Parts: sequence; C-alpha cells; structure tokens
Amino acid sequence: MFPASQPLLEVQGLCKTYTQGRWWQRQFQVNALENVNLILKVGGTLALVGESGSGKTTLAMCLVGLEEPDSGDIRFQGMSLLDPRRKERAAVHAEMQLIFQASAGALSPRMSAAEIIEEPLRIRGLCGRKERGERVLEAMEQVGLPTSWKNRRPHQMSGGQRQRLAIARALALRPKLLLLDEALTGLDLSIQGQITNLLLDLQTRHGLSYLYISHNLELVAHIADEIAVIHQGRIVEQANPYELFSHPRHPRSQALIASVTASRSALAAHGGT
Amino acid sequence: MRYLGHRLVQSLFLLLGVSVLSFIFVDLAPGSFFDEMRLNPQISSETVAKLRKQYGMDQPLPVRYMRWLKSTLKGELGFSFAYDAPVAPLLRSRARNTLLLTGSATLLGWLIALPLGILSAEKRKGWVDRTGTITTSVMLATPDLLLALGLLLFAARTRWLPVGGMSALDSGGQGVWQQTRSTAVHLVGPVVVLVLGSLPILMRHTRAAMIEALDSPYVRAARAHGVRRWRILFRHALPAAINPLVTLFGLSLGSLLSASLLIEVVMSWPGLGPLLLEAILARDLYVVIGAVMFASLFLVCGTLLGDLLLFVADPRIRTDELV
Amino acid sequence: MNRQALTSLSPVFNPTDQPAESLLRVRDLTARYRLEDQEFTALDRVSFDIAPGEIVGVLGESGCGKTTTALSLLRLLPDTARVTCGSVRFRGRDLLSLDESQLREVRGAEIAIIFQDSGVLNPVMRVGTLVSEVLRAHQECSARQAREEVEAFFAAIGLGESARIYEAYPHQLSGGQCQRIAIAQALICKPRLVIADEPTASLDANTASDILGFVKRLKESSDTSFLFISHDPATLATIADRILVMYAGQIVEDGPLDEVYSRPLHPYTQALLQCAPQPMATKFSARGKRMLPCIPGNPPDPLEELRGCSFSDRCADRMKVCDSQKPGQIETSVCRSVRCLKYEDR
Repeated sequence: MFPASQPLLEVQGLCKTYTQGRWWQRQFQVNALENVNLILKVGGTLALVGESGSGKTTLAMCLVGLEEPDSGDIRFQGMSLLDPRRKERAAVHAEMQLIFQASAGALSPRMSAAEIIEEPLRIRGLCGRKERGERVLEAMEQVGLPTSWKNRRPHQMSGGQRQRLAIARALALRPKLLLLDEALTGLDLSIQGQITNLLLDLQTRHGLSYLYISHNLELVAHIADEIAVIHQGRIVEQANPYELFSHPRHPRSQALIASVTASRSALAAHGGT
Repeated sequence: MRYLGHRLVQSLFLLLGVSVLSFIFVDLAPGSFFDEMRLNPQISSETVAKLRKQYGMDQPLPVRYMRWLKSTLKGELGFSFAYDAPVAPLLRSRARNTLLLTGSATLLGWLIALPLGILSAEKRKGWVDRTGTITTSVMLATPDLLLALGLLLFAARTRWLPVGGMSALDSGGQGVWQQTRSTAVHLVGPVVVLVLGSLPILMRHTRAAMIEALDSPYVRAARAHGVRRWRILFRHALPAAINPLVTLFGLSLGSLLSASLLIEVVMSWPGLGPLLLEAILARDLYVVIGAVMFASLFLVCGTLLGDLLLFVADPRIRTDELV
Repeated sequence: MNRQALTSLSPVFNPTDQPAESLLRVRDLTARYRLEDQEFTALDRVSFDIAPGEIVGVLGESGCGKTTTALSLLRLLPDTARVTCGSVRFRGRDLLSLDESQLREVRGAEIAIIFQDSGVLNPVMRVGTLVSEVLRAHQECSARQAREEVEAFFAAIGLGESARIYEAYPHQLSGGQCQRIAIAQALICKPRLVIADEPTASLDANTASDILGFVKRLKESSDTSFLFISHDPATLATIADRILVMYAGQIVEDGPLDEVYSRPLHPYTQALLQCAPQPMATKFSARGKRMLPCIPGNPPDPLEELRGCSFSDRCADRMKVCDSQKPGQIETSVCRSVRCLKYEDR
C-alpha cells in the first residue's frame, strides 16, 4: 500500500531539447523543457498552465513515455519512470492514463464504445473476457454514459459525450493518475461544467489524482489544488489558486490573470452574474 | 544540395546492386548461348569450346562480372553474341525508338487525364464524371494485350493505320519530311494502346486528389470571398492537389523504358521490347543485363526527378522556419 | 494602430442610404440537412435584423445552427444542405434569389465571412496573394497596386514587417498571425457586413483580446456591421450591441446586450450565463475546489422529431405544456423577443 504522505508523482530537473530544421538546413536548438520540478500528491490536482509553445505538451509526452527527456528524473510512487527495464515501466504506465483534447481524433471511428473502452484491458491482458465486459459497463456508468450506447460509434456522439468516452477508456485500467492535456478545451461551456463536475466526483470517490494541462487559467482554477505556470520550458510560479489570483508574483502569471479578469469583468459589467 | 548528393550516391549503389543481381539471375537460368550451336552436328565441339573461351564464358562468375564492369565503364556495356557487336550502341538505337513511343504516350496521357480529372472532380455526378467513371472502369478491366490485338485487327480491316512496324517498307530513300510523317502514322497505333492503358489510373488519381482539395476549408473560404471559379480551380485547388500527382508523374517518367515492352513486341515496334525478348530466348547475356540496367537507370532518375519536383511544388516541404 | 488607418478601412458611406433602414433583414430562414436517407431541420424560422454599424452577437453552443445561419446567408451550404424557405434581404435585394455570378460579386465585397477553421488559408499559396486576390476579384487594379494596398492593410491590423509576411506561407506564421490574415481577407474590400464565425475560439487570451479590440475600434470608426458568432458570453460582452441566443436551430432570445445579460428571459440563456466561469479572487476561498454550474443533459438529437419545446428536457422552469406545445416568438418589449411558453399569455 502506497503511503499517502509521499508524493504520487515527482518530476525532478527534467530537461528536453529539440533540434529544429531539416537536415539540409541550418539547425538550431529549442529548449522545450528546462529544469522542470513538480510534485503531485495522492488525491490532489495539479494544474499546469501556459501559452501554446510553453512546453506543456512536451511534459505530458515525457510523463507517459511517448518522449524521452534528455536529463532529469520522473518518479511515480517512488519508482523512476526512466528505468530502462521495459516490463516495470509498462506496469507503471498502466497506472497513469492520458486524455487528449481532440478526443474525436483519439478515438478510432471503426470501433464501438465498448470496444474502445475494452481495448487497453485487452492489450495488457489484465483480465478475462467476462471481467472485461463488466469493467466496460462499470466505466460507462461512472462517466454517465448510458450503457445502451455500448455499440455506438464516436462519430454518433457529441463532443462532450466523446470526451466522456475517452475518460471511461482511461478509467477502465483503474489508474491512480489521470493526465488531462487540454481535455476540456473546445467543449461547450455547459458541457465543460458537466465534465469538470464528473472529474471532481470521480476524484472524491476513487481518490484519483489529476495533472491538468491547459492554457485556460480560469477553468483549472476551479479544480486545482496547485497551479504551476510554465513559460518557455520553465516553471515560473507555483501556488494555490487563491494566492495566485490575489498575489501573482511573476510577470507571466500576472499577464495571464490580467487577460482573464479583463474579459470576466466585461461580462460582469454587462450584468452577467 | 546535400540531399541531391545523398540521393546520387544512393542511386549508384542501387544500380550496382541491380547489376550484380541480374548477373547472378541470368547466369542461374539454364542454358547458354552456345547450346544451340552444340546441338548442331556440323559445328565441332572444339569450335564451340574455342568460341566459349573467346567470349570468356569459361571464366568464373566474379571474373566475368569484373570484365563486364570494366567494359561498362568504357561505355560498351559488354558484348552481344548474337549481333557480334558491343551492347551499348545496340541498346541506344532501340531505346531511342522506345522513348519516342512512351514519351508521346505519357505526354498525351497526362494531357488528357488532367483536364478530364479536374472537370469530373469539379462537377461530381455531372455527365463528364459519369461517362468518365464508366469508361475508365472498362479500360482498367481490359488487358493491354487485348487492346493491342484489337487495334491490329482494326488496322488490318480498315487499312487506316499501318499494321505494326515503325516505318513503311519502302521508306528507305524518302526525304526527312516523308519519313517523319510515316513514323508519325505508325506511332498512332501503339500510342493509342498505351494511352488507353494508363489513362484510367491517371484520371482517377487526378480526380481523387482534386476532390480532396475542392472539399477543403480553404477552397470553401475562397468561394466565400468571391474568387472566380477558374482561379479557384487552377490556382487554389490544383496546386494543393498536386502532391500525389507529382509522385505519380515521377513514376511515369521512371517507367518510360519499361512500360511498353509488351506492346512493342505485339505491334512490331523496333524498340527495346523485341530486342530484349530475342536476347532472353537466345541467352544473349550481356544484352539482357544491359537492357535491365538501362531500365533501372531510368527508374532511378524518374523517381529522383519526381522527388525534386515535389520539393519545388510544395512549399511545405521546401520551407520550414517561422517568419 | 491609429484612427486614421482605421478610417481608411471603412466602406464608403453612400449618402442616399437611409440610416434607419436595416442593412440585413432575415425572415423565416429555414434550412434542412440530408444525412444518408434522413432529413433534419438545422434552422427553424430564423428571423433577425442587422442595422448599419451594429454588432450583433450570436450566442449558442455546438450544433445550435449558428454556423449554418452564417453559411446560408451567402448560400455557401454544402451539397447536402438546402434552404427550404425564408428571405434574406440585404440592402433591399433578396440574396436567395440571385444567380451565381451576382452572388459572387456580393461575397467578399459586400458581405464577408471570417471562418473559424484553422485551415482556411491555402497551404501552398503565399498569404499576401491570398489577400490580394480577394481585392482583385472585385476591383480592377494591377498586381502592384493590389500588393501595396494589402501591405498597408497588414500594417493597419498589426501585422508588422508587411513585406516579409506578404511572401510567407501559412505554415510559417503563428496562429494569431494566421487569424489576422483571415480577417484581412474578409475586410480588404471593405464590406458592409462581416460575419465572424468564432474567430477567437482557438486563440490564446492575449491574441484574442487584441483581435476583439480591433473589431471594436473598427466598428467605432466606420459603419461596418458585424454578425459575431461565439459560444462564449464573455467574448460577446466586450463587443456586441445586441445578442441573439440560439438553441437547436431556433433563436430563443433576442435583445440588447445589457438587457439580455442582466435580465435573461429564456431559461437557456439564464443557465448558459451561469455556466461562464466566475470572476476570480473575489469569489475564491482559500480552500479551493468547487463544483461548476452546468446544464444537465444534452442538446436534442436533430433527427428526432420533438412535439414540444426543444429545451424542455433540460429546463429548470419546465411546465407541463412545454412537452406538447412548441413556443412561438413573443415580443416582450420594443426590441426584445423570446421564444418560451412562460411568456405566452403576458
């Protein structure tokens, strides 16, 4: 049993550099991540906020193993994810699931909802056929999709429903950590609220931890315990939402908050509650 | 520039590899040029042995390969037993004829396929599209051989076209203009067959690429801005659709020497086809290898040209840096 | 960006135009889509007016018909859709009865669309050409004149280094720059009406506020009208004069911005405005996470025929009659209307 006092996920000194330019052109280095340090506690939510190109997605890719960082360490439940031994890494990655933004692109249009949710279970060979079917129904119920939609395909669902399906797929493996890379961006406002509440509910019931990556500061402010602001590959400020909004210290955080408050105050000025 | 250098070196290695493989395969094939001579009781076995030694056929394979390589570098590409002459000049004159045929056919094919493909993509389910789809399906299903034989039959019956060959029998003493006209008339038959064979593929590819471009958001936006129809078609849709077509064009170029071999044999066009067939049947080793090398060279150059054209045509491949 | 530059962007004001006359009058616009062998109604009797120099915001969520409305006005619907009835009168002419070549002259020059899609710029053409060809499609001018005008325009909308940007390809520009090019394409011929379909949806906050600022200044210094489509109430709060709220292909509420936002009449509008994330700091407690307001359920499946109000299954003020009767458009005051049975007998 993993002690709750220890951090679930620890990122230490992570660095990643890309080289840009085709091989017949002059090359130049891009520092995607520079000395990134993060800590996520069990049952908590850490939000990573930054503009496009700040390195957020690179970090997500490194965490799930889709990219190899150049240096630094990532420890999940005390164990290093950069361990070259593949078997252990695979087992650990099952505990960490990633949900993308454009779920329409992340869900195969040829598979039905049940097949999509079942796929990770099948690949990892974690349980027999009967149990897989049960877990599929369980996951669908958890995310609020009617079980009668087992055979529907993604294109027959709306954006919000597809995102629920993506979450159900992630939940089928009973992970400890969910990585949400702009998972709510692009959804209608009313649906954003629905999915956010779903995520909060799942967190309370199952003790899930979230690493939420976004460029939308006000959205994450509702669900995060801590917000880390990332800019050009560096974490420039990290604080809880209340502190960040009332006393932002770094110019980048101040700029982000300023644009948020500007639009919101316009709304308030015209009488929107 | 570095890219070009890389590709050239790659191609060289490829050609060397092809030459080695063809050498081995031709050698592995049973029989040799001298077998027929041996069967002839009038030629003594010593003569055969002497001939063999003269042509170096008694040497082991690697030695023969090295000798052939040296001869290639000299520009001769080996020696033909049947014609008793170096291979290269033989191939050159025949290749010229083949290129005349395939060059015209490729040009004509593309000139017809492009507009037809564009028009059928623009007015989907219009009459151009429907007739085009039906005819191309029929043409795809018909084998080249059948088309060739059909055309020969037609020529024989109606006498509108010559029945094969490249020039009339009595064309020896005629002037340049007469000879050119005669060749052109003889070209019609084989070119028609080749064009009918390649047209369906070209047209369908063009149509598919154009449909994708015409359905794209940027073409819709251009229509919304009031850009005229022709400009949208040729300045917006076609350049965006050109990618797969350029690659296809490269392949067309690459197969210039090899696409027509069968047709040439059937319609008696004096190109590489009949030469190659004779040489294979007679086991005239070096002619076969020479022809194969020629065709490979064209293929390699064609695909390289295709890639270079792609580089020129698509700015996304060409430029990378952010402004 | 100075005022002078902005005035140069405005359309020439024709003194014979009566200022009170609506620029655009849409009445009972209905559009149907064909999906395999079924047909469904995407727009149901949509009616609204736009006056010269007015910014009308269309607020609604995905699938409500806002993009379909925009496309129908210029008859740019795909082959699977068609306008079945209604009229669109633009400066006195019915756009739905024009033939293709007359329509082509209107598109881009008098009414222009700024699309939402990120792929609206042709990837194999230089962005400068993309803008100048719109100019040359509607006006007689040489290539060089067009280029000069386009470069001046680039400078006016905040694209520095106009000459370099003119020669660039879309993949070499950032998202914000591409969106400005799309705006340039729409505005270069100084149209009277600009339809903007979620132009800031995919942009980050800073670029978005830049563009909204530009739209506002343009409206103040010229007579250009906008039909601004968005799913975000806050975006519209900064620039719109009037709001149309759309749900399931119908306009469910129509009125001035201040009134609709401070006293929303339709239950959907009320719920939607609640969903917008709250202004910060003042409402936050140091303890953190809270549930967000949302509208339970999903928008109706367009293929299903509904007998009653399309919002009834999600409505907080649902009445018995809502399931069996469709609400008509009710004028609650001079410039406000709402489509809800609650206001039927007033």
